[in-house]
Amino acid sequence: MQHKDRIWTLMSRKLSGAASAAELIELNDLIKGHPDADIPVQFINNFWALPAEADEEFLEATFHLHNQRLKEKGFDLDINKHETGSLNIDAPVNRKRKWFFMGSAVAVIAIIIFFSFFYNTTNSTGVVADNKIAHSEVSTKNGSRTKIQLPDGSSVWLNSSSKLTYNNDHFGASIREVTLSGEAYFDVVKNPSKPFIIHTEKMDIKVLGTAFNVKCYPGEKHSETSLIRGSIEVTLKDRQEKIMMKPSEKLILNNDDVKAEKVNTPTQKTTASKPLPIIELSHLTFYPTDNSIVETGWVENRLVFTSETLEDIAVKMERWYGVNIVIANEKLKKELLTGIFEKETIYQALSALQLTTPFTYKVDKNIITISK
Amino acid sequence: MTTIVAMEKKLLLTAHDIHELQNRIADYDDVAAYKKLFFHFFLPLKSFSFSILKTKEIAEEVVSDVLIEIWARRKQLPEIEDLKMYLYVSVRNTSLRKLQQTQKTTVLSLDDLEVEFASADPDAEASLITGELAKKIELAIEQLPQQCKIIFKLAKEDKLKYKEIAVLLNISVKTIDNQLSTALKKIASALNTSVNKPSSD
Repeated sequence: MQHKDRIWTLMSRKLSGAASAAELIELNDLIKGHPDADIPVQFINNFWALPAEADEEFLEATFHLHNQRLKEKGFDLDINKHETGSLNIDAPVNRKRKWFFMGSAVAVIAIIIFFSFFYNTTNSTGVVADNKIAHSEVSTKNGSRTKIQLPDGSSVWLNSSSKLTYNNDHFGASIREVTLSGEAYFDVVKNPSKPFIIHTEKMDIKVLGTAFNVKCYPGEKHSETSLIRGSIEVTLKDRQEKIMMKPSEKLILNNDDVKAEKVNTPTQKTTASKPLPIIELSHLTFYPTDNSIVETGWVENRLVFTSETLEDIAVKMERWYGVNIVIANEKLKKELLTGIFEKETIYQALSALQLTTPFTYKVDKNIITISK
Repeated sequence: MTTIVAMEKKLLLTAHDIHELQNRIADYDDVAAYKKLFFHFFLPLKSFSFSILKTKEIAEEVVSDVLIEIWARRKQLPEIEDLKMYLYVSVRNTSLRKLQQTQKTTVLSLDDLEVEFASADPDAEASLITGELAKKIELAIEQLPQQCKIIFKLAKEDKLKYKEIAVLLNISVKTIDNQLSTALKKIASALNTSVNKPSSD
């Protein structure tokens, strides 16, 4: 029964965030090797994530009492003052949004965005910040991620090497429009009278109020839209086609196909008679051991991959860690791997990968070369 | 479905969000931000204080006092790097001081803690466990040794890390590792008997 004890030791470490990448892989393998452990493991995973009851009424009453005690000690809190709505980290729970504070909110957010892209322009190349026409642009480099709040209170988590732009003057006037290149997770505040539209190179996404992930890195094989809750409408620009998505669905758009038409080289013409499927509607991927959603793992600072080739993982790691990775062996490129990295350094991550796929690597400045 | 619920809850307040709230309170005397912190921390802190003091009213008073202190010294808030741990340690110390007034003891005896679990969100819980199974799980948790129970509670409900629990309870990380896996194993075996699988133990 030693494996059982080991499973629960590893599970405790995983659930409380103390497990290393190597231990997660070990746990994964143990569960695969002992299918009878699968049900209890899944159960404990779900049980662990059970949210506690948020007793709002009790908290309101307690806060009221607390406020009176504050007053007795000479602190007078004016509850109606200072609702700086802009920086509101409002979760879906808080329904009482104070729209009339929006004026001051916009001012505060403008400053924050100014600073964030000032930071970016001084650190990366090719990022143009044009304040005169009130365009706000937030961008991230390789190895960095950020969370921003739009003037309407919607939150956007921006993954590495990504760029989000919107017009400050017009945002929210009648529609809320942003342009994205790269990957972002959106939690959009519901407002049916002002639809939220995300423009990407290949598609436009129209939202009423929902949470979802969009991945549209230039030069990547696919663009992906993953819907967590709510509903969205995706318009494919090249085909003028509209697709309604339901929660937990994922839309994958093949970018290569479009590129092939544009490039139109003779070699590609020969295969042109057999059109590639350019869109695919599939489902969110859940990580095998903890049922977490793979597509949005990065929002919680987790780099997650399931049965992906080392070649694809290397691209993710390049962005995540801000390094360059070269794989010198063709066979290695096609190795399939599953794993989660949370706080691991690039070297810890590489040695965890070495456990399942033996390889060696050399580091030269910012370039990591992986070979057999 | 439970995964999605859990994810939304998790997105409620991240460490980054808490830091932002600290800055807002310090810079703008932002009452709304202060209230958010209160809503986020009050129940878990109260329950931690209760495990030491065993009186609901005094526990609530202790947490309220600690949070009043936060408002009183709000200008220094941004200097606190880990507000969560700061609050837990303050609540522990204040609770022990209260205990001293009545029992003349300031040592935290783990076997002497009374652990009270928060009730789970009924909707989410119903999607996972119902009826008889729920009772078995509850019983399995109830029967855990005191030390095991408080560690399990702090890890699961309060989402505290090994190191944080170790600091709070003044025990080793190794003990926590052992106790938590014991807790999970016992809960899992309660599940095993209930799905009527021939137990391989």
